[in-house]
Amino acid sequence: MTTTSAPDERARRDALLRQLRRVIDPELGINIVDLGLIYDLELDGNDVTVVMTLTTAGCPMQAPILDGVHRVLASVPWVGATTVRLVWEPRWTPARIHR
Amino acid sequence: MTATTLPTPRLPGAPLPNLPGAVHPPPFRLPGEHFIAALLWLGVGAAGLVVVASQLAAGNIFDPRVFAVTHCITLGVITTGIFGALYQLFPVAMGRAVRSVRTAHVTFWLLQAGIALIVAGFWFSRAPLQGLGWTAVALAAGLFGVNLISRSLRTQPDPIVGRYVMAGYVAFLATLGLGSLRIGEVLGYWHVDRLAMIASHFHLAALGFATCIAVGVGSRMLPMFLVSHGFPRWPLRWAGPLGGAGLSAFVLGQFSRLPLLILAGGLVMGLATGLYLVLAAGYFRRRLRRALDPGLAHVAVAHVALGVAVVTGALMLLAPTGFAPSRWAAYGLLVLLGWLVPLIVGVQYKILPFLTWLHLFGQKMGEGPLPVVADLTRPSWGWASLACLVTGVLVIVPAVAVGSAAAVTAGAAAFALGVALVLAQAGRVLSLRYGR
Repeated sequence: MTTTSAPDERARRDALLRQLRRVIDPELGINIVDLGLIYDLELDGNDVTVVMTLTTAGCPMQAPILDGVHRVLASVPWVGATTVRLVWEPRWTPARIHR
Repeated sequence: MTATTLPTPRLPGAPLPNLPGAVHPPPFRLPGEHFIAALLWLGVGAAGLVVVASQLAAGNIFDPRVFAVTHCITLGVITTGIFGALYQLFPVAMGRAVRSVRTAHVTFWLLQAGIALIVAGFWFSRAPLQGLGWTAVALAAGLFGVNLISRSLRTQPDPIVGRYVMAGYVAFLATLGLGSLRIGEVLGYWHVDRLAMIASHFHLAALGFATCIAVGVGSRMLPMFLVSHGFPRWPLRWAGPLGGAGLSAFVLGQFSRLPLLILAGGLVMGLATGLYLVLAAGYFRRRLRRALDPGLAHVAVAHVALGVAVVTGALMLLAPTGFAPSRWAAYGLLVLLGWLVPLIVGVQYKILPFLTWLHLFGQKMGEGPLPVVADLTRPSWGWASLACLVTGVLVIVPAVAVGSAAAVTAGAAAFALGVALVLAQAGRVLSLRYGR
């Protein structure tokens, strides 16, 4: 359950997205936010659920990217537990890139 | 919505849990050993090309040393490279990983032993060595099929890719089958039409096996590397069935000595390849990543050479001149050195540095600024190698067609210089991997 007001939540989401931009796809040189891999951020109090995908199932970057997501969010002082929900629908395509 | 939830905390670097959608890529060593072996064979093949230059210029396509060099490239570079690339790309392209990594290593060593025996058997004109080598390669092919290719039968999310891989594998088995016919003939067991055998063997290997797998796996990988979308995909549905039908008719026509069937089959093969080139042009035209790196430039140039080979092949079919070994050799070299070798080199340029990056920095994601994969390579070496390879092919192919030994030697030397630069680049990347 989110316990903060809407403007505060937006600021917190922006802070999370700023952190997630530190995780990059090393082949493309694009961070996972601008690559369009982050589908949603769910806040429940201080707990964060990242709903995201990868460019393809079986992506060799799966483990490093998921580790990176956990690592950068753990560096945010107010973040409690982090959960990554990896989804495959809708399927990622390059059309999702925004930079 | 298909979802895989990864709870926190998970220790960085710990294995991923065995959850739906989580496909584990193989360890670095498996594709790595294949790429290193393929590069070493490329070095041997390039040196061999210089040695047999005069034989090629003279149109001696049946010279055993020419066969030895050809098999250095077809089996050593292309087959080993494809096996290695498939181990790495299969999970990405088809969401299925190899059954047993240990079996894959055994397969690798069987394949390498087999290739070495076949090449030595040709070079020293020892048919029993070729037979032994063929047996080892056939065993390796069988293990590869059970361990990896059989997993393509029910692939998601793109079953058409699995069909291409399976068709390519079947063509590889057929290529091996024809090879055994030739070995049996040399050992005195039976007689086969040598020209029909070589024409069929070559097209089964180059088009049926290597190109078919490149088309299928490339349909997933190239758009990803190029960040390309919005291109028409319909050629992918037609190129495979048409290519298979054309190749079958071509082979049947060769052995039944029906010129019309050869012509029809060859033209349909050309049409299928042309359809694929339409698809590949779409990948490149609709890419978001406008600047090509050296790896993708190798791949682009390879496709241009494939287009030239299709036109050349069609012209040879439509204006037959009887037994024309120099032209046949020029066409074969165009396919091998112009299309398949740069393709394998380009793929290697993409995968080897990426795997090295994963090893060096994969567990440091999010800790701070990290280099990108391209930072591990020297692009200038990549561009120089491409220039040398292209120069080599542009000189070798016409020189073989007109029979100029000096020009073939010069072209082979330029090609070998390009290969040396490829090896230097790979050595630099591997030294980053193993030097820390």
